[in-house]
Parts: sequence; C-alpha cells; structure tokens
Amino acid sequence: MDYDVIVIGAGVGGLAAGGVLAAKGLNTLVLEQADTAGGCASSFEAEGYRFDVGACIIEMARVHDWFYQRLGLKREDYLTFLPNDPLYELVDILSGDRFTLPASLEGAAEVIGRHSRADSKTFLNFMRKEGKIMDEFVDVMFSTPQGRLRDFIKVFTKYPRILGILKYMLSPYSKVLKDLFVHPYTHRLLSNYSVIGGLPPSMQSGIMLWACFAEHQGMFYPLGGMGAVPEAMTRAMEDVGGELRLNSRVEGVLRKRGKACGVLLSDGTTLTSRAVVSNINANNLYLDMIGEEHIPRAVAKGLRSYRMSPSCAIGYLGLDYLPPLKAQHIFALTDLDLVDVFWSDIYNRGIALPQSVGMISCPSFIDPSLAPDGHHALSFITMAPPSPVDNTWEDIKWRYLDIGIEMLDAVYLPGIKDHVVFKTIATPEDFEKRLLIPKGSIYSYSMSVLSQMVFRPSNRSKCLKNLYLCGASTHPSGSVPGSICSGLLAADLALEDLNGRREK
Amino acid sequence: MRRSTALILSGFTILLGLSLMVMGIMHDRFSMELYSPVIVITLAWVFVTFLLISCVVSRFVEDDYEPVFATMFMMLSIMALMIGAFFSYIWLMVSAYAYNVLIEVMLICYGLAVMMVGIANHLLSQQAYRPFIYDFFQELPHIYQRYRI
Repeated sequence: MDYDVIVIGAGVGGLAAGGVLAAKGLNTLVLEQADTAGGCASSFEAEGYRFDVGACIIEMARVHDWFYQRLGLKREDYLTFLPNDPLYELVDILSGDRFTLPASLEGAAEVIGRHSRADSKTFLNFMRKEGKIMDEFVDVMFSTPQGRLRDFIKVFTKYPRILGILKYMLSPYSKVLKDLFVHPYTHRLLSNYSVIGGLPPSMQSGIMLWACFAEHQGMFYPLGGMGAVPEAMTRAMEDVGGELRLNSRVEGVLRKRGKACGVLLSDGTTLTSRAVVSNINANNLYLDMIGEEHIPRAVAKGLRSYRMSPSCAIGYLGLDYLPPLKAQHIFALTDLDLVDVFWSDIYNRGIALPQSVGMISCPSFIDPSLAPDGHHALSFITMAPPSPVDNTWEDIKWRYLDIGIEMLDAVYLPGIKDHVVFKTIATPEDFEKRLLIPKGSIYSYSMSVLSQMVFRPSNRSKCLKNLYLCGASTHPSGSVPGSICSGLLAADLALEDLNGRREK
Repeated sequence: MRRSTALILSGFTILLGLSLMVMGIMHDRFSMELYSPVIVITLAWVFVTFLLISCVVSRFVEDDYEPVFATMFMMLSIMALMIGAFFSYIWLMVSAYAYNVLIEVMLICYGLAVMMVGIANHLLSQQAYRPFIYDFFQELPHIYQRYRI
C-alpha cells in the first residue's frame, strides 16, 4: 500500500479528516484538483486585492477549536479570529431604514424593541431557552455520525430535552416567526436566517432560528481572509505528518472485492491505500468516480432525488476608497413573503435577478491587509439560478455584474460605482466548473427535514467498505463548521474500522 | 374554509379514526353475532358522512386546499363502501376466526388512515403549512433510497 488513507479533496472537511488521521499516526495523503486548498472557503488574489471565493463568515468558532484540539494543537497558534461587532449593518429595502445589529443578544433585543417591546421580550426568552436547546441539538448532531436509524433515535433518548424543540423542527420557518413575534419588522429582521439554511421561509424548518442564536454567540472573520482557514488547517495537518498534493485530480476510486483500495489520478497514476475518504460531492463520487453500475439502484435514485440548495453569483470589486460602512457585512432585509416570491422567480422559474443582492462583505474593513493601501476589497452575493432561462451565464454575466453594481450604488452604498477599479464575477456555472459543485450550490443538498441526518449521505459509505465521506453533501450539513465536523466524523469512523482490523 | 370549521372537521375525523382503531383492537370483547352488523353499520355511516363532507366542501372551493381535502374524504368514503361490501360478501365464505382477524386488521388500518386524514386536514387547513407539507410529501417517497446512501 502507498498510503494508509487517501483523502480526495482539500476542502475544510478533507483537511479536517486528513489532520485527525495523520495525528493518529496514519500515513495520510490529501489530493486536491485545484492549485489552492479550501474549495468554497478559500481566497483568491487579483490585482493586489484578496477576495473570499464563497464563505465569508466564521460562525460556531468552537468547531475550529475542536479540530486543532484533536491534533493536540492550539488554534491560536495557527489562526486568528477577528470579532465582528456589530454583526451586520442591516438595510430594509422596503423602508430604506439602516441600522446595525449588535453582537450581543441583549443588543439585538434592544433593536427589536424599537418597534415592539413584546417581541423584544419574546426574542430574549426564546433565545435563552429554546435557542440554547437548539444549539445543544446542533452540537449533538455535529458530533454524532448518523448512519443508521438507531443513531438517530439514540440522540433523542440520550438528550430528551431536544424533544422540546420538535415542534419548531416540524413547522415552517415563516409560521414559527409569525406565531412568536407580532411585528412585521421583527419578521423582516429574522427572515434571512431561513435563506442561510438554503430554503425560503415557507419551506424551511423553524429550527433554523438557531442560526440567529449561533451568530449572537460570536461571529468572526479570520485574519488574512477566509483562505487563512484552509491554509492554517494545512499547516496543522503537515505539522502532524499529513501530506497535501495540489493540482492532482482524481478520476476514479479503485475497488477490490467490495472495498475501496485507492484512487486513479487524471494523469493515469494509481495510488493505493487501506481506506479512502472523499470530500467531494456525493453525486460526483458515486455516480462519476465509482460509477452507477457499481452501486445499488436505490442509491443512484436517492442521489438524484436530492434538491440542491440555492446557487449564487458573487461579484468581486476592488475599490479605491473605503465605502461608508458601519460593519464588515451589510445584509438586505425584506418581507417574509417577498423572500418566497424572489425564491420562486429565481429557482423555480430560472430568472436571473441581479437586484437580489442578499449580502455585501467588505473584509478589508476589518483586515486592511487584504487590499493595497487606501483601497478596499468588497464582494456582494446575489441569489442566482444554476442556469438562467433562455440564456447562458457566459452571455449575461458581465451585464449581470454591472446591474448588481448599479443596485449597490442606488440602495446600499451611494457613489460606489465611481470607485470601482477592478471587477469580476463568479456565477453558479463557474462554481460548478472550478470547485466541482453540482449546480454551483455552495451548501450542496438543500437542508430540508428529509435531506438531513440519516437521510443525508452517511459519513461511512454503505455501498463500499473502507470508503468514508465528508464535506457539504454529507451529514451533518453544508457550511464551514458542518464540513469540518463531517471530516472529524469520517476520520473517527475510519479510525474505528482500521484500528478494529488491526487489533484482529 | 374557516379555521374553526376546519378544526372541528379535523377533530371529528381524528376521533372517528381513533374509535375505529379501538374497535379493531378490542374486537375479541364482542360476540361475533353482535359485532359484524355493528361494523357494517359503522362503515355505512362513515361512508355517508364522508361523502356528505366531501360534497359540501368541494362546492366551496376557495383555493388549492379544498380540492385536496375533498379528494381525501371522497377516497375515504369510497374505501368505507368497498370495505363494507367486502365484509358483507365474505360473511359466509370464511371461518369465524379468519373473519375476526380480517376485521381487526381492516379496522386498525382504516382507522389509522382516517386519523392521518384528520391530521393532514388540520395542517393543510393552515395556509402557512402548505408549502412546507407539500415539499415534505414530495421528498417523502425518496427516504428509503436516501437512507441507503
């Protein structure tokens, strides 16, 4: 065997798995098709500006600490987090109101209390009781593999408090908001957390209110840009003996008697190993790399049945001034029902709407090293269909970017268009081509109730022995902390199997 | 449909389903002579009630929910009629024991179906639940395939 374990893909999930396995003394190789590690959580440089490819917020910072602790290291020695306070500058696109959202729960309650005291009180009570239980639930889910039904049942029998939030889990987000809070302003303020979970408020589970609790536990930005996260993870992994090989595209997974035993690279090289961990999308892994003919028909059908989470287009701008910002991130607020309408137009009807700017991020506001002196790097995220109706992204992307800039100038940052010295855009098609994410969905499969837990691809493959899965398309979920945890879970399962065999 | 009307209908349907299930579970407490006509009469009553409900509801179509609701009750009604006819027909063709077991199974299954219609009606009668429930039911057929991955 060339290696004990080969990891396909150096996203944060793959690096987490590689790090833990290497720390346990296994000869581990991580293969990455691109020239940088990190996938959606990486950065790129252009004309002196450093932009975040996709992810631009650190939530659940404790998950990063878990990774370094598992390697016997300290996160602070590798990575510095800069706190975001206020969390956002919020712009109500209907009324034109602008205000900042403080990092503390009490501060957020005070903002809500400007329109409704009752809502402010409810918000605090809800977050302190149910929010805490939801957070506990997420912690349990993020640290427990969900391969079998008994794993799922065990969670509820071990932590019966979680049953108290079942009603939120099985109710739509919009209904939970309307039942809890009376003022439409509060609904607008909390509407965006459903989209973070990848579904519109009418279809999202009410449990996504947890995201609000999580943000108020601390939101950060890494010093050096989001790319600093995978760079630090790579250094940590290499320090414990792991190896990363860039520009190495995997074409297939080698099988022998129902077991994964290595990979085939695009240059024809074969590398053998005792186990394989895949950090790529489960559809790509099973349908392309392993081949539909080698997996049960039910599995192939199951993979095709997933609906993808929203795709987006991101505009990246280099500015020759500091725009008038009050926080690193600007978030757009609108009515709950309007979010549903936007959603339907974009994802059901395929309309490309550059006006649907959801979030603006200016990382150099908090870390000036990300742009040349006096300049700033800014990106804006819009909801965008994977393939626009009657058009291709290649035909419309530059026009789309220009309309997006006009929108920024008109609503969010007046005067910005005169200060744009560099601009580029990444469309869902670009994400699909460069990062191999089906339909450019950065959160991979949608986060509906029936795409979660035991119904999301398991971290230990049920089709092929010695194959383990991590990344956004697997349990627990698609997000930076979710992907890191999936890597930790996959590594634990691989260690359990490999050690068990060694003992025998 | 008004919320209160929907609530009464849902409550009534759930109770009816529950009572049918209880009848099924308690089947051996009754004598066969008494039990069989009771069941056939109950099913006939269920058939008439559900048919009436579905006809009344389908006359007042307001949005996408009422046709779904009316169809559910119409199907339950037809099911009741078919089950009643089946049990009247096989009365003399099978042994008393086999008849008893069949009736028990039928009552539990049918009672469960009626209860589920009641719960579905309660949820679907609320506008806020509809996209969530429709989406849930769209994904439901795939859970076994997803569980296998």
